[in-house]
Amino acid sequence: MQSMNDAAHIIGICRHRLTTDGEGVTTLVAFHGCPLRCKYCLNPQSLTNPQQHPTHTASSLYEATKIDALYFIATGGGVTFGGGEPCLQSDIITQFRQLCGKDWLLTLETSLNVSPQQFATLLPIIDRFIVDIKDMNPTIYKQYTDCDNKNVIANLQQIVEANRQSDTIIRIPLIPQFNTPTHQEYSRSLLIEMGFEKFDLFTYTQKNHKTIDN
Amino acid sequence: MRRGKETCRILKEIRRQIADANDIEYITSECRFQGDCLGTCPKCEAEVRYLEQQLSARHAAGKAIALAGISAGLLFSSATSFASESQPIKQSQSIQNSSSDKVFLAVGEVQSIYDRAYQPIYQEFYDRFSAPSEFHDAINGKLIALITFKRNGRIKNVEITNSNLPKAVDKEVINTLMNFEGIIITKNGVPVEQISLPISLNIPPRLIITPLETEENSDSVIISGNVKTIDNNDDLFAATIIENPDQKTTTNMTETDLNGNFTLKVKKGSKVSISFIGYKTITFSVNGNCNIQAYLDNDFYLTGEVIGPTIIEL
Repeated sequence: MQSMNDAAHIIGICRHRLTTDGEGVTTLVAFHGCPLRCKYCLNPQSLTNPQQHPTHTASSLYEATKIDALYFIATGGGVTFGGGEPCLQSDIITQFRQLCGKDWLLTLETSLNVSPQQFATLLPIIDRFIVDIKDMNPTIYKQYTDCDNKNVIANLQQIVEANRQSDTIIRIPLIPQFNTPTHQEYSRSLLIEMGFEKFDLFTYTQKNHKTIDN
Repeated sequence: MRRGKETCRILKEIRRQIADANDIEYITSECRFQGDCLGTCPKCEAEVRYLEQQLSARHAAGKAIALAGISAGLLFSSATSFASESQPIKQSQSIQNSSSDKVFLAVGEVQSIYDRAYQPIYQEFYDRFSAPSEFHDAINGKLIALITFKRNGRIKNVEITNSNLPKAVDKEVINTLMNFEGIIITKNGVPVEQISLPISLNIPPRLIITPLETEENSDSVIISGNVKTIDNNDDLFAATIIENPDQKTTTNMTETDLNGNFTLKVKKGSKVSISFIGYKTITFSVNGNCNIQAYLDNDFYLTGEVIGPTIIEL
């Protein structure tokens, strides 16, 4: 049962992001915790001891972010939830939506690798999804993240069934030593068949990442 | 540091647009903070709180509030591929002239000041524009430039409306736009003949004169001071300070030192100019001992740089 006292560890709150998360002025709220173990994790602090990081309830997160409400409403921006894996905090995000109302744009930066039941609670309250798909090839996915991608496919299917493809940007990385541009294109073609239209093909640059083995 | 400054500049413009759209008096000043900047500071935060109070008061008084979507276009100028998929919140409407294939954009139509499509025009304008030579005070205000184009993209005419700026500044805006190499704007392949371009100016003063004690009966006065460049606040070495620059045989002059400082004794009532190649000359009159702080502005046209027409597809 949901409680407004539910709290989550936050690894960072970043204000005044411009066009990074789509339209408008946004604030990024990055949660601790992730089911994946990506070799080139961008935010390895999301996997460290959670006690190092402050906790927030939905109320305190709202208090921390509403300082920029004027910019959110004026520019069509709002709050982007990332991390870590924000879908693991679906209860807090749902409570947050109740507090902030309908005018704030809520964006989810996610791997989609959570249970379909958990993702289903977020679908109706999130305006925009930014999905880092890694690779649609299950073998490559497993090699890179140490997890399988069954939940990812199931959640992509939920987005399709809810007809929310136009609210979704799929990021397809070229991951050195794990996939190739051909794999990237193959992933994109599969997703196009599912009805997705917006893609961001980019390359992981190794010097900007620490492996989680370090 | 530069990114923080850029964030601050954009947020400040958003605040200005919110104030303008709601008839809220909003007076701010150019940030001269030189250190690392996160994009906001107590002063900027205070401005946000002020706007919120004003909007709340308007709402309580039963007045309409214009808030949503008035500034989104500002951010599209540095858009990633994400935003390029999005629709601008405010789109310019075109009015088809049934008697010809020309397209006009409605005059006076509300447009976001940094509408994505016009960003190249604004960039070139703000690069080129500098205050008129005789105008030394700060310039804070806005106007709408109604720009009519020839077929080849050259600007045929510029008319200024809704200006709260001095006439000399309006004239300089017209001069700046008329000297563009050319802008070709098309909509669905058809040339656009006219646009209305809101322009906001926020320029610090170029000359600050601080009077000092002067003997009444003295024929000569001493001016001393410092010369900097306006764009990055650097001391300007070897700028020339001349008494009575219009006289062909003038001989009384000096130059700034490595720190941009100078001292010159001139006759009371003389005209004095400060100049440096590539920068606009400042000219002023002197009636007593004084300290001068001058900021020289780039003089775009002296560079001889050739730029082709800007092409914009709406």
